[in-house]
Amino acid sequence: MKKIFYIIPLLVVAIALTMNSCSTSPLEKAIKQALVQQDTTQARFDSICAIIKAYPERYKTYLTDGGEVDVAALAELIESTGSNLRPPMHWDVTRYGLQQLSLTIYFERSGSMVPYDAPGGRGQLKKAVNDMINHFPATGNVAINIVNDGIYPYQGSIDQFLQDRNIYASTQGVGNAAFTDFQKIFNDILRVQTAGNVSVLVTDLIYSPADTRDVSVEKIFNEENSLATRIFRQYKGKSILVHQFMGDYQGKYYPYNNNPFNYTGQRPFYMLVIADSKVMDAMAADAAYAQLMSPAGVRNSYRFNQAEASVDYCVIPDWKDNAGRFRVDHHDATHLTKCEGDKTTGIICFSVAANLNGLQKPAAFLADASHYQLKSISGFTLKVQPIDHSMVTGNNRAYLEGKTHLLTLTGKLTEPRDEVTISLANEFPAWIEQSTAMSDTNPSQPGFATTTLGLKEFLGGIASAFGQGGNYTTIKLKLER
Amino acid sequence: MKQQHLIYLIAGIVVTVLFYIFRINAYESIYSVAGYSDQLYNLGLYDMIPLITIVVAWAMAAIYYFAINSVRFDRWYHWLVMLALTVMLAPIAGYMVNSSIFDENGLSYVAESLTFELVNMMWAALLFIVASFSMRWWSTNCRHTPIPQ
Amino acid sequence: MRLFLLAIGGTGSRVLKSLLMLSAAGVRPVDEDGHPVPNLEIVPVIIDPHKSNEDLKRTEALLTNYRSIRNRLYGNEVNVDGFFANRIVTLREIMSDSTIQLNDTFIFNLSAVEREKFRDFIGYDTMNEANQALTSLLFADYQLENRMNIGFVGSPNIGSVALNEIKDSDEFKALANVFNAGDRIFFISSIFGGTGAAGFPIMVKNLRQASNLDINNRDVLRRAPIGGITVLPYFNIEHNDDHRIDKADFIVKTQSALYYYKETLTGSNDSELNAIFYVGDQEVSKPYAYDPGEHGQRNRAHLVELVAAMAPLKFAGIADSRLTDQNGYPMPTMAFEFGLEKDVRDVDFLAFGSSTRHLIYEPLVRFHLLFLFLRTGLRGMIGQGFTEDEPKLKSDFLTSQFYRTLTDQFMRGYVEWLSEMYDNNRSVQLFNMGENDMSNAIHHVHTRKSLLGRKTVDNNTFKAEMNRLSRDAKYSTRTAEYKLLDLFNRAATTIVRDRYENIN
Repeated sequence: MKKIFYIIPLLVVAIALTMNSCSTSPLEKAIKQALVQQDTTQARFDSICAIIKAYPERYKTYLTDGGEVDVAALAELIESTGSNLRPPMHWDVTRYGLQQLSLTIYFERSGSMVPYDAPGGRGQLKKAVNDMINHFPATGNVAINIVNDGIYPYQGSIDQFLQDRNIYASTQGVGNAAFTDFQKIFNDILRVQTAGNVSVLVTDLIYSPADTRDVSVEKIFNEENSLATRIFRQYKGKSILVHQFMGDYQGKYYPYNNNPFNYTGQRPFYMLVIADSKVMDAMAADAAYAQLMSPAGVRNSYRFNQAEASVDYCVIPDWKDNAGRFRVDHHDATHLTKCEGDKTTGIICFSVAANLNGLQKPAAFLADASHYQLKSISGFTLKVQPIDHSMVTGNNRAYLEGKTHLLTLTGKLTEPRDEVTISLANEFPAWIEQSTAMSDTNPSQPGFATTTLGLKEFLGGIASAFGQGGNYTTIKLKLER
Repeated sequence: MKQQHLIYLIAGIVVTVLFYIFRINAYESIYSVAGYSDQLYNLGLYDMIPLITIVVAWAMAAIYYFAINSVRFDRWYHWLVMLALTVMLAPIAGYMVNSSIFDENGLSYVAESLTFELVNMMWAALLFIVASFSMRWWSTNCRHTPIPQ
Repeated sequence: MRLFLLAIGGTGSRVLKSLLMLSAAGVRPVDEDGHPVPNLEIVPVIIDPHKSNEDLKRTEALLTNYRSIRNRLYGNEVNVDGFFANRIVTLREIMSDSTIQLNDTFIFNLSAVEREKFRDFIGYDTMNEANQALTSLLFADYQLENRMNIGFVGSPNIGSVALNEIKDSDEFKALANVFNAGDRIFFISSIFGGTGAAGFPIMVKNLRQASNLDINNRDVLRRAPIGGITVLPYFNIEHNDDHRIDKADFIVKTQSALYYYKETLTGSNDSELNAIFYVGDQEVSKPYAYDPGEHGQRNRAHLVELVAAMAPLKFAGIADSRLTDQNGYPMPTMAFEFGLEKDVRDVDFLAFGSSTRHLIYEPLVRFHLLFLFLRTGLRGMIGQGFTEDEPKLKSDFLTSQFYRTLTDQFMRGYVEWLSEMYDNNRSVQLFNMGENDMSNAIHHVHTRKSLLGRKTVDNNTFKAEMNRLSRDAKYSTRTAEYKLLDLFNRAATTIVRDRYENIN
C-alpha cells in the first residue's frame, strides 16, 4: 500500500503553505524586531538600510534610481509593519532622510543690540550664538550675516566670529545700525532659504522703523503686526521657533520715541529659528539638534506653524494604579472593552503612556495637567506624570519604552460607551503677553528688564499669518462596557 | 484507498490549516491576557507555537500509526499514551521557545506562559486527535485505534 | 467434474476422514500441470451396513461439519482456494430427480440388509436341503447367525452376497441418474476386511454392467472412469479367544483377493478399473482392540489412511486422455503404489517424498497454525486490527454456530486424528503434539535464522500480517467467517514461506 505516501506530500504542502503565510523577509523581520524592541534609533535605521542595500534586487522598491534608500517608501513599510503590532507602533524615519542641513546666522547689529555684548556684561547673547554654531552638527555649513537695514555677510571666518570678544566693535560700520528693517530682513531670509537650511535670526525683536518720532505706539504696533502677517503669509511651508533669552545689557537704549537713555541691567533677546516645517519637525525629533530646538539658557520658547502632531500612545494593560477591569483590544491599544468599575468603589482607573517628545514643549508645560483639555461623557479626571526610568519593568517595557508621559484617567463609566478625548491646545503662550511692553521709554518702569516693546503684536502677526490655533495633539480613547 | 478515508485525511488537513490560519483566535478566545498575549503576537510566537504544536501532534500521530504500528500497541490505551506524550511534548516545546524568546527580549511572564501552555495542551490534544483520524486508516496495525471504525 | 467416492467399510470411513482433514487444510487435487482440477465436487457415499461403527459415525459427523462450515464460507461456489476448498456434497444435494426419496446423508442406506441375520437374508430356512448343505459348506454357523447391521465382520463371502443387492437400491439409482459424462467414480476399500473386500469388485461389476440395469445414463456409467484404492493389511488385532476377525486370516484373504482382483478388475483381459491404487504397510500398526462390531469399531487413524486419502485426489487429477480411449472405453488399468522417502518409524513431513510434500505440507501447516491461532490468539484480538474491518468479527462470533462447529467439533476431530496417527505405528508426527508455540509447532522444521537467533512466529505475527492484508482487501461482500479464514490462509502462506525453513 504505497498510497499511504500521498500523505507526505500533502502534509508538506500544507505545512509549506502555513509556513509561507507566516514567513517574512529579513527586511520586515528586522523592522518588526526594531519596533518590538523599541529600538527606534538612527543606528537601527541604518542597519535596516544596510539590509536593503545588501539585496538591491529583492528590495528595489525601497531604492531610488540613484541607488539610495528611498526613505519615504521604507517609511511606508515601517508604518504598515508597525500598525500590525500590538499595540500598533510608529517610527517616524522620514527625518533620517534629511539631507545635511546648513545653518545661517543672521546677527542683528542695530544700536540697541550693542549693549548686550558690553565688556562689563556676562555676554549671554554672544554665548548663545556661539553655542548654536558650535553645536550645529555640520559646522562646515555655517554662514554668518550681519543685519540691520539690510543683510551683509560677515567678513571673517567662523572661528574669528566665535573668538571675537567684541563682535560689535569688529563689525562697526556694516550697514546702518540706526534702524532695523524687519520687512527686508525676513523677506530676504525666507526668499533665499533653501530646503535644507536653518536660519537663525539673533535679535531683540524691537521694531525700529526709520522715523518713529511722534508716531503713536499703537500705530507702530499695528504696523508691526500687519508687517509680520504680510511677510509670513507668503511663505506657508515655513515654521518659526522663537527662543527668548535674558542677557546683561549695559549702554544706551533707544526707545520708540527716540529719546535714548543709559540702561544697565537685564534685557530679553531672541533667537528666531526659521526653517521648513518638515525640517523643523525632523530637528525636533533628533537629539543632534537639541541645541537649536531648546538651547541652554533659554527662558521661553514657542513654535509657530506647528501642525497638529500625532503622538504614540497606548493604554497600559497592567499598571499599578489601575482600578476596575478592562480589556485592551488587541488591534487597537486605545480601545478598551469590557470596562468595569471597581467592585466596591465603582471607579475605573487606567493609564495611557504617550510619547510627547515630538511636541517640542518644555517639560514643565507637558507635566502640567491644566494644559490638557479632557472631554468625556463620564467626566474623567486626568493626572499627568513624566515617565522615569524606574517605572519601566520587564513586562510593561513594551508600553512604556519610548514614551514620555503617563496620563492617568480616573472616573466612573456612566454610559455603556464613552469616548475620551485628551487634547493639548496650541494656545498663544502666556509668556508672550507677559514679555510685552506697551512702552519702553522709562527704564524704571516695572518689567522693563523682562519685556520687549510690541512683542505680542509682532509675534501675533506671525501667528495670524499661519492661522494659529488648534491642538498640538489629540489623544482619543474608546471605552466600552 | 477508500474515498471515505481520503475525505478524513483532507478534512484533517483542512482543519489543521484552518487552525493555523485562525490560530490567534483559537488561542485568545480561551486565554488572552493583557501584555502577555500582545507580546506573543509581536514576537511572532503566535506563528511559532501553533506550528510547533501542529508538527508535534502530526508527528506523534504519524509515529504511532506508521513507525510504531505494532500489533502489540494497538489498544486504545496505547494511543492514549501517545496522546499524553503529545500533550506533554507540545507545551514543553512551546514553553521553551516562548521563554527563550521572552528572555531575549527581557520579558518575564512565567505564570501567563504556563497558563497559555495549558491552552496549548488542549489544542495539542485536539490536533493529535485530528491527525489520528486523518492518517490512521492507512496504518496496518493501528487503524482501528482508538475507536474501531 | 464430480468425483463419486464410494467408501466401503470401516477403512473407507477412516480414509474419508483423512481426506476431510486434507480438504479442510486446503489440499486440492491438481492436474498434471499442477493446476487445481476445476469444478470438482466430491460426492462421498459411505457403504457400510455396520451403522453403529464408531469410525463411520465420527466420519459422518465430520462430513456434516465440513459441509456446514464450507457452506458458510463459500456457499455454493465450487472453485475456491483456501481452507475447506474441496466441495463435498451429498447425493441428495445434487439430485434433480425428486421421485427418489433419499436421506440427506453420506451413508448408503442398506436397509435391506441391516436388520437381518445373514441366514434370513439368504433365505436359509426356505432352502431345500441340498442348498442348505451347500450353504453350510460355504458359511460357518456363526456367520449364518451374524446380524448384518454390524457389518460383514471380515467375511467377504457374506459381503459379496449382501452387497450384490446394492444395485437395486434407491441410492444406486440416484447415483446412476446424476452421473454425467466427465464424472468419475472412486472406490475406497480394504482388501482384507469383510465389507470392502467383497463389495468393491461387486460394485464395479454392477457399474460396468449397467446395461443390465434399468437406469438412465447407463452408457455413460458403463464407460465411466473408475478408480479405486485397495488398502492392504496394515493393522493388527489384539488377541482374543472369541475372535471372528483374525489377523492371520488377513494375509490369506488378501492374497486370494488380489488374485481375484487380477482376474476380474485389473487384469489385461478384463480391465474394469481405470486406475488401481495399492497401499499398505509391512510395518504393522499397533494392535487394534478386537471388536467384531457390536461395541462399535473404533480404530486409531493411521498413516496408511492419510496416504490412501491422497489417492482419490491423484485420480481426480489424471487427464481424461489417460483414462479412456478415443471411443470412450477404459484404457488398460493404471496401477499406483506409494512409498515414503525414508523408511522411518517416526514419520514427519521430511519422511515424505517431495511430490507428497508439495501437495500437503503447506496446507497442513497452515491449517495447523489456524488451529493454534483459533485456540490461543483470536479471542484476544477481537476489537482490534483486522477484526474491525468490514465485515467485523465481533465477540459474538466466538459463540456463533460456525465457530463452535469449526473449533469444538471439526478441530477436535482434527486433533484426535493427529494424535491417533501419532499414537500409532508408524507414528506420524507432523506437528509437535501439545505445542502451542507456533515457532516450534512443526516437527523437525525450524523457523528461519535471522540476525538475532531464529525468527519467531506467534499470534501477533499473524495479526500483523492479517491486518496488512485486511487493510488492502475487500471483504465487504463476504461473510466474517470467510474473511477470517481467507485472511489467515493468505497470511499463513506468506508466513510459512518467509519464516519457516523451506523443506519443499
